[in-house]
Amino acid sequence: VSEGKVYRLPIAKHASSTDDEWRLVAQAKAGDQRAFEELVRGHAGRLHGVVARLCSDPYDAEEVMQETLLRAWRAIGSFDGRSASFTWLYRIAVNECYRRGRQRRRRALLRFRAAEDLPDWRDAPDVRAEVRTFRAALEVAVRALPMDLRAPLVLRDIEGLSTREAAEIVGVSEAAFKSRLHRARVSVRDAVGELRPREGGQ
Amino acid sequence: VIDRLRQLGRRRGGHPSSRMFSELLDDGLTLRERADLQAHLRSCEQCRASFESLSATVDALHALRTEPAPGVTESALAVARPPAEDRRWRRPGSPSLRVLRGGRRSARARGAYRTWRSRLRVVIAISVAIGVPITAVNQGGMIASGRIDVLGVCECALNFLVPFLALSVAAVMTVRGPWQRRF
Repeated sequence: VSEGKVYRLPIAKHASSTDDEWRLVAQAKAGDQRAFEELVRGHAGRLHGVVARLCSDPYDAEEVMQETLLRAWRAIGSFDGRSASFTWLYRIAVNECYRRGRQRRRRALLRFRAAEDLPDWRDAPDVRAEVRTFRAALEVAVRALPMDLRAPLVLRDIEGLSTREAAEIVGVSEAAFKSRLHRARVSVRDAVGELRPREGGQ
Repeated sequence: VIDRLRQLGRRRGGHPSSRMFSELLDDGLTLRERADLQAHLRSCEQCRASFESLSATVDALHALRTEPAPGVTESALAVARPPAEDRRWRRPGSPSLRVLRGGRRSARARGAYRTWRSRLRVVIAISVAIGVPITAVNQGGMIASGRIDVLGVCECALNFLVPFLALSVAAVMTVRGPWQRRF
């Protein structure tokens, strides 16, 4: 362990709402659809990254995105601005993912589709072969996590949100969030096990 | 309380709990806790290996972050674009779309039946509970004497049928079908 090394993850760039964003929120609340679209456009790309990892396949992810935006538009009037607008949007999306996850489980639909739509790391440039294998294994391990562990891991470790924001999005206390996050990390670590490249090259 | 729990979590057979490793990664420890933990990690091979594997996993996870896929946002926005009210409640206008109404009607019927079915059980139970005593009072003599005639049987049936119909009408009036539900 190197001295004083702090393993803090970079916080995503949309960590706080700017004045500009509040203006858009106010306009959207007044019924201005263009303002709403502009507001959403700023976050939707990253949001899709989260949703894609929380859903079982890309079609589901797309539907969740649509449903999230619809719900957000309908609910914008009741958005009180206590949280940042992106936290609010993420929260709607994560809830929708949970809802779909439960539906899926009830219907016990096809389970073995999961592997086919993982991001393909084979084309990634300047990445060593073993790292590629490792990343693929990580993706599988993340997919294999139960929903309540996966969401914290994706939000915090992959997307790099702060613990407070991510806990708010998942809708649990920070302590509970940390505990889930830790369980998820340990479970991913144990799942990838031997595949981890030696000197941690990325 | 949290500090106490931390203290409890700290030592398990001389080793800190792995939960502390996550806290260290997230910079969630006090200065003192961090110094203690780092001192322990320097001296304990086993814990160091465990911590380093966890930290490598977390680093690797962060590298999984992909750039947003182009076009996803726009297509999702396009679908969401006509505001909810228009999209959900628009009546099919063109003749080709009107064909769809048949399907919609049967969907309504199915929805109505589903809400009705749960009430059916209650309605039947209550009408039997009403019908039995009425029958016993009004047609009790006929049943006891054993002289069964057609009119008597019809009267017995009415004892059950009338409460059943009345309750059904009442139940239907209280049903809010799925097609009436606005959100």
